[in-house]
Amino acid sequence: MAEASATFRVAHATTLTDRICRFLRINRLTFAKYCFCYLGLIPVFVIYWVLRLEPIGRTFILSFYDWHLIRPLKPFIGLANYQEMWSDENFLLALRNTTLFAVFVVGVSVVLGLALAVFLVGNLRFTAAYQAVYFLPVITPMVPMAIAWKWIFDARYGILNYALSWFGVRPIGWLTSPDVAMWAIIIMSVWKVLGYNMVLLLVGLKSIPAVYYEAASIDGAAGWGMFRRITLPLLKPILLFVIVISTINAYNVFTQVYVMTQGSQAAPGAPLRVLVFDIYQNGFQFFKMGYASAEAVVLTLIVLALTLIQLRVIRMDEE
Amino acid sequence: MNRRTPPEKKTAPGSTRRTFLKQVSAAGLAAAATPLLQPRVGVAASSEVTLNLWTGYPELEPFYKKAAEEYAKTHPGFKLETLSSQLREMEQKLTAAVPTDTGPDLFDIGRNIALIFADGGLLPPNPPKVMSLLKSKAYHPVVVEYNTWKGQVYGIPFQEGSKPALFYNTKMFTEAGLDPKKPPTTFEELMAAARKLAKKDAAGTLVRAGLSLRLSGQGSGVAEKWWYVLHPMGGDIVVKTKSGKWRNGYDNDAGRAALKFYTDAVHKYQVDDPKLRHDADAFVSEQAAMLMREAWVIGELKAKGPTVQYNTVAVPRAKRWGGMTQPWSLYVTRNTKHPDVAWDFAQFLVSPPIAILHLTMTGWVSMRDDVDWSPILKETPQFKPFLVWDKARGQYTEPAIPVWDELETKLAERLVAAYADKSLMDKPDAIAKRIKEMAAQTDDLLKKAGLYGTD
Amino acid sequence: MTGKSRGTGREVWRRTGAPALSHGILLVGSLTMLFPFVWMLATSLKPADETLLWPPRLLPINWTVANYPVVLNAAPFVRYFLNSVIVSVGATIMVIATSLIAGFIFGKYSFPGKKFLFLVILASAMFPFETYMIPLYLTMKSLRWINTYPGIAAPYLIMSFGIFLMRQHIAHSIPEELLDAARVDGASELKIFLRVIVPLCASPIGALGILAFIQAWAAFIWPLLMATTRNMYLMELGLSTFQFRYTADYHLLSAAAVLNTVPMLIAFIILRRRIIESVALTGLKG
Repeated sequence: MAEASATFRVAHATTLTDRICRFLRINRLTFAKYCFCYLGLIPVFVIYWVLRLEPIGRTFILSFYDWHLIRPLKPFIGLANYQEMWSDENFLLALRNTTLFAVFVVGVSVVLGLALAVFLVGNLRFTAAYQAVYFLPVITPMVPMAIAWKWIFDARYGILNYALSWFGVRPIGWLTSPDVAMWAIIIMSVWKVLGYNMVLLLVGLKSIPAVYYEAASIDGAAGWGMFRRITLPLLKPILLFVIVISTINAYNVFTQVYVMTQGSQAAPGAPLRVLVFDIYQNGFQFFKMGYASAEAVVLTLIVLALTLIQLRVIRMDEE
Repeated sequence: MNRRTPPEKKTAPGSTRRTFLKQVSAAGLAAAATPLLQPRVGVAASSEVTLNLWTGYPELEPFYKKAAEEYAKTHPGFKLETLSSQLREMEQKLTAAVPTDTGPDLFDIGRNIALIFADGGLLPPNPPKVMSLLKSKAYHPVVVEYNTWKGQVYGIPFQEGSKPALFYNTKMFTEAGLDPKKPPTTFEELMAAARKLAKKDAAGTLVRAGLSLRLSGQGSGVAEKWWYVLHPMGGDIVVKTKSGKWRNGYDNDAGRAALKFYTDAVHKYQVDDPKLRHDADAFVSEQAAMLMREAWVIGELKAKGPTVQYNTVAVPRAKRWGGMTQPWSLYVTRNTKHPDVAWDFAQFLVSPPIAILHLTMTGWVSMRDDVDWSPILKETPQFKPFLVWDKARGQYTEPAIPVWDELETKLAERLVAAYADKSLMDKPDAIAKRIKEMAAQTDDLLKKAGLYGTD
Repeated sequence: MTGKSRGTGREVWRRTGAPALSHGILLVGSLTMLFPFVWMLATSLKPADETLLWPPRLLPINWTVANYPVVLNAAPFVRYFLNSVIVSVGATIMVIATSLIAGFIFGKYSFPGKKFLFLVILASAMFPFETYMIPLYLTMKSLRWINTYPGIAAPYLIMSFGIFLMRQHIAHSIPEELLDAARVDGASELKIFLRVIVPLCASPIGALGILAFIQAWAAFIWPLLMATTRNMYLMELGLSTFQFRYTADYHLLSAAAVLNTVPMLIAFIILRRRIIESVALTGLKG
């Protein structure tokens, strides 16, 4: 941002804009840019305020109360909810489960999504059909899918155990043994988000100009080397995006766990406690809404910390 | 990484902008047209009344619609709009709508939510006409007591949410050498029958449950079904003390016997297995020989398992004999514009002829004691244990304490772990210890809620 | 094949025989992807008494299409469909518009408070929706938006991920020189946005369009809270008509689910070409 030059000052009359520019020590161009930025963001932030920030803010404040959700009485209890959390075995279990879940789902779905996008970005035949097929899980409604998956995971007649039996693996009680249930949900969640990641990574791959590949191939690069040196680095922005939002979504997992392990629809679901389920149960079943709000705040802080770490590690410059 | 040459000119940038502007104006038009697309629900002419009814039982919607048609015959101009969703979601919806007066005219819900509304002054108390109906012979006093909070009675008991009976497959009975006309009446007989009915394949895996128990699942259901066994054995999840306080009711022989029943069923005698299909789906597809469930299973059997041969009988007894009653009630909201019509229609919904419609259309049973069920029983005798309550059989209900849901849910989680624990098999000390731990948690929750007492 | 080829994929996988291997792997994966959907489709073509068969059969014994008319009559699904379309399309347009402008500003400009504001936007996506649902409901009540289209669409009108995606794309795929060139030509920032940035974002617009559309189409708990009369229900809510207290009419549920999935599939097919085949519009060939 250059200082205003003397010519500049002489050429224009002293207007309010000029006075502001001089006061803020910026030139007219920067001022125009700032105006554009803030004005452009105002509608966006108004919407954010009404639809997100204000309700979230209210919830944050509620976390310091013992709020029953329906009863108007709200005694202020300060940090009591937060203190209770750290000795609540359900919360700690949920934290452990959700973290484990997130690590595996993000790891596997991003790597597989990338492989898939790489396969499908080129001139392979039937690409369109493959893309549609891999995207299908993203759009099919959860409840009928859960029923189908309960069958796939069935200990006796499930397809999965049947396929594994070809390799001599004994039948596994996917949804009935608590230790294995986590893996069943992870498998199903990866299945569900793979197409989502694929689509986003396709955007990333397509925006890498062919120029770079040509230049690299002239320099003698090929195959894996090309991928590592050209594709991956240029894919960083979108890759970072995919990793961050996969993490956020993984920590916020709820619907599939709820539907897969709930008691109705006659399925032998072993309960799998994840954070949002704990929040939901505390808030809407036990009506301890203040406590649930506190859990939500902690969840957000954890995810925020992880995101900041990811942004730092992959080291994107803000420009 | 330098960026090299600047790009070529793009083709027709204006077209993209034009389409973008088109989209924006389309959105603008849509937004402007929104008021025109608003639904117009509400009162029109003077005799035209439209009521909104919300239910957490989607299967009841056709019934409500039919009942409304019947009502409209004597009340021209009456219309009913219904809205349904899954129970948990409907509870959430009501929790948001009722306190903010954006709710319906009528709704049906369980007591866990209604009590909280009543406590918050969000429900109008029953009008005199309704009270005289409730105090009459039509309703069992236990049921009226169930809907009472702080001296006031709220809502009209509408549908029995529990009162299970024992379903058993008569064909399997005969094959196993049991007499289908003499089903088990005690828990010992029940276990003995289950052992004969359970079927294993060549590899020794259980393929048919002798008795399908609720061994896992979210929520409080596991504890509720355990109570089906605990209560006859002489225990309860919580008991009221003389001073009006509460403490756990199962850290005793009854509790230990009830847990032993399950442990034996799963590990010792292997009449049920968590890996099998459970509940009505299992009984309908003939993967379970016996099941303790409510009347709606009969409807399921008619639709999805018409070839299954089965019968029903009252749940067995042990030290005592009783069934759990869990009335679901109809409530009128305080923001309704037509309270008279709403209460009148609610009373109509529980009247005996409509109660019969209720049963035939949905399989759920009315709460009234004064309905003549003989035409139904002639056609489907399996309804008998649900409709005709033996005088010797008692009824028990859930206690009206605010921490009940949490208590039952946390107990359920511990029970699920206990059922899966093979080390409890034939180890009375281990079972006693486990029961003690569970009871300690129950008492703890009662203490936190300030409800605990020992006398 | 050199230089001018559009086959970015070819550059990445040079080896011969790779196509055959690719097809093999993709096909196996496809089967896994498809299987639950095939199950759902097959169940929708079964009569009621076949839905609980054990051992389970994938394909129906007595094929029937009767479930579909039953579904359409059981609830006003046509109306639900219309509602879903209005809400989803409206949400998609709003998300794309807001993400483009905010993504551009965050991607290409520096101004005081930028990092903080961006973090606020991102952080608001981390807070579980179920928790601030009720305060938002109260806001909707004071705006008198309960049981209205704007009310139902409200949480889906803005998407932090959308802003993030646009920002990444604009910041890293659109060279600053382009903007400077336009500025030299005397274009205002707004003009640069409309004439330079937007056309170059065809690919992420397509991707974001799909994701925003799906987010609104598959929404469940919020539309349920918002709708107080049946005729404002969305299709996803209509599915619960067939789910009962302790069980479900699986054949009807599956048929309704198939009907619910088809529009999203169509949206994907339409927008897919924008994402994938937008190389021509990026104009960034050497």
